[in-house]
Amino acid sequence: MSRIARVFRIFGAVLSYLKHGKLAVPLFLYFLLQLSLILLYAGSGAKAAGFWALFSPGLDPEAIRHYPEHLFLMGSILGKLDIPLEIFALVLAQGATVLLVAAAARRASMGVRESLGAAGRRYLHLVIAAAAASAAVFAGFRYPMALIDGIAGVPRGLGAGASVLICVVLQAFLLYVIPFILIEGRSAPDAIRRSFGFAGRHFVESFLFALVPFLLTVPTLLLSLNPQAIAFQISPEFLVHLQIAGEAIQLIATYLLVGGLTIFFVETRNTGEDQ
Amino acid sequence: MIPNRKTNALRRRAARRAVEAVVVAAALFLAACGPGRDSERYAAEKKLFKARKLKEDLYAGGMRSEFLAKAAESYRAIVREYGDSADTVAGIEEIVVSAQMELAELEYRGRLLREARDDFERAMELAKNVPAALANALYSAGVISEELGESAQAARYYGRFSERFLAADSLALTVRMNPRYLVTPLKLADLANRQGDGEGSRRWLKEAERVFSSVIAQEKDPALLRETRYNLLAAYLQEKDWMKGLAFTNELKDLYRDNPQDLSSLLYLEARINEDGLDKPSKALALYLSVADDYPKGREAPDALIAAAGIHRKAERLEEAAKLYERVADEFKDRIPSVVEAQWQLAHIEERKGDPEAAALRYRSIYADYPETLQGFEAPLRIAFIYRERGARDAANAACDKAIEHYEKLLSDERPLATKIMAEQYVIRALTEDKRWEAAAERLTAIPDRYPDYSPFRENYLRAASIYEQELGDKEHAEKVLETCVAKYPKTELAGAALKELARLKR
Repeated sequence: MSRIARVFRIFGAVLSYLKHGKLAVPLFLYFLLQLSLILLYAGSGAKAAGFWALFSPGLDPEAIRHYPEHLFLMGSILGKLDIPLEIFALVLAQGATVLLVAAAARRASMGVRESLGAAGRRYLHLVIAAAAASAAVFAGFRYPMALIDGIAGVPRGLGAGASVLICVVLQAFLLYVIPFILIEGRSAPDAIRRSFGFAGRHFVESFLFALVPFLLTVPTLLLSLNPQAIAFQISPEFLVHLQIAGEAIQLIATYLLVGGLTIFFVETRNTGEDQ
Repeated sequence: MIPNRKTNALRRRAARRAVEAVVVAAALFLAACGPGRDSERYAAEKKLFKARKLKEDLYAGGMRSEFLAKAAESYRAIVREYGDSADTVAGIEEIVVSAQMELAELEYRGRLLREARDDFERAMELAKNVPAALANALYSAGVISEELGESAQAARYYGRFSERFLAADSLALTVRMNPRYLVTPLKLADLANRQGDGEGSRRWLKEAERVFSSVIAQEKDPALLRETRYNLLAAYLQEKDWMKGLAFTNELKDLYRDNPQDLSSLLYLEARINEDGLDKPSKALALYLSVADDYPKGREAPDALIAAAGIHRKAERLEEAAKLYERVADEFKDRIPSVVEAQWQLAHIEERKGDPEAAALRYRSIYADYPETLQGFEAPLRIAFIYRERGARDAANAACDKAIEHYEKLLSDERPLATKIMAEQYVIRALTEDKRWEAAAERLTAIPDRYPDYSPFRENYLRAASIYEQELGDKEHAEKVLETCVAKYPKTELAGAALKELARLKR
């Protein structure tokens, strides 16, 4: 079976696991957390401008106090919250999902609480790995973008495309950090090193695992690039719907990504392919 | 057991930390919550945004009356709901004033002139502390009064504006608001002139000179200076001080010698001075032609040709005039108003030459190609008029039917509200000019319900009653129409007028 076909077979398997609803529960809980934040932001109107400005240093709270600017700024303010949330909360949900999918792949049984507990016991390593991964992806995007700063038109578009590609490749190399920490009990630095090695040996599959879920998020990502145009064409409130839709798609993409890489990891390690 | 106990303790500690983090975040959130008044302003901003969205949709959708009513109501709701908070909550006053101003502007765009003026009046009361809005409301009310043909009322608004915003110490600020405001004394002079108040007109022209000279002396902005200098020239011309105007034109020609557009404009004005003021048509003709020949891309080129053609026409040199009008129609196709005027004049020349068929052909092409221009509305009736004048009754009737058909088509198409209102008025004109009194009266009473927001149509009831009484000799029907009017618009000035008419009829 070709490598590409194998990746898509695994995505199919991940989706079929959804019949055991519990596999998506940890990521769904994280989605609920994001949803609460979106609703809290949208519902607080001008009242909590000072609070939200805390997350965006340099931003005058007065800018958030007005309609529709308050909604225009939602994406960027909640976006600033994303990095700490990913490092401290999402990583726990991802870890629990890895354990649940790995158990399902081995036809073993594991409960949601049990998976969260097991991930919680390795929380420090997970946080260190997530922080390192976030920093790498951030740098992988930021530095190439800084290089093309001031360039306009097609070259800028090509430069931005290259930055995104670099990020996807970097992500592909860091995919297996959580399975190494949770399934094989490695420390964070060791798991990062091993993830790079493992992804290097299976680059095509790893790249596809990172790329396909990313492509799923592109439409909402593109829509959110020009909030003012959407607000004036449709309605500023549509930005709230768009933010929620973005998080829902992110939930699906993360489930596919984490589930897919876990099955691939378990299959490859169990069959000795990786030796 | 010991490791288990240790793990449980760690878990409890982690849970405690998580709860603490949530409590701290909640406390921060509550502490950062602004006063409730912020929410009131936020809600008002939200409603203003929605009203503006409705307005944009209305403009994009060709000003359909049902959407106009909806957009207007959304603005009114803001003023009603937040009017009382304007003095107590920071930021609300600006929102309320903006809503009121935009409501009036919306009505103006929908040609609801009286409603627009009433709403600008209300805006004046609300904008006592917002000078820019107050100035805009006063000036706009003056412009609308002029459009309504109420010169005295217009003069009152412009007078108030002048007193408040054109005093020596306010001029600099007023210029920054809108340079167009500076022409207010010119407008007042013109209004006084139209009312036969020569002394008042002269007084306002002197005031205009003071205002313009003062701005020219103080200002540094070249664009503003240019505009003000042209206004000063307009003041001289309105004053009919032709020599002073000519001298200043030459001064400006020297000042702006490097700008072809200025030279074109100034040459055109020089031609006007020679034609209108100094009664030198030959010199004016030469100047007009040089505007068109030397500055063909200038704004005035087609108007200069039309003016030159007018000089030929007055001198009965119809062939020369026609050549110039043809030149406008051929060379300035993108300048619609000038092209339509040239076509209209060409049709007139055909009439003067005694060729009604050729004239009718030209009028037909005007209303087919430019149906929404004034000439486009007039052209079908002009054809009927030509035949009627020549005693060709059947041809005149057929032309009248054709005209009504044309206006009905404009009414059924997706046209702006203003076009439909004009078309309705022209249908009535076609019917009355052809003495189809019954049809005219019926149509008059049917229109107001089709345009419930356009109040001038309500007066149709008085006109219909007059037709029933005077043209059809049907007093009973006239009374019925007037009673309907009173029932439909009770306690209005119109109902008062209808009651008066009713009393007269029943006497």
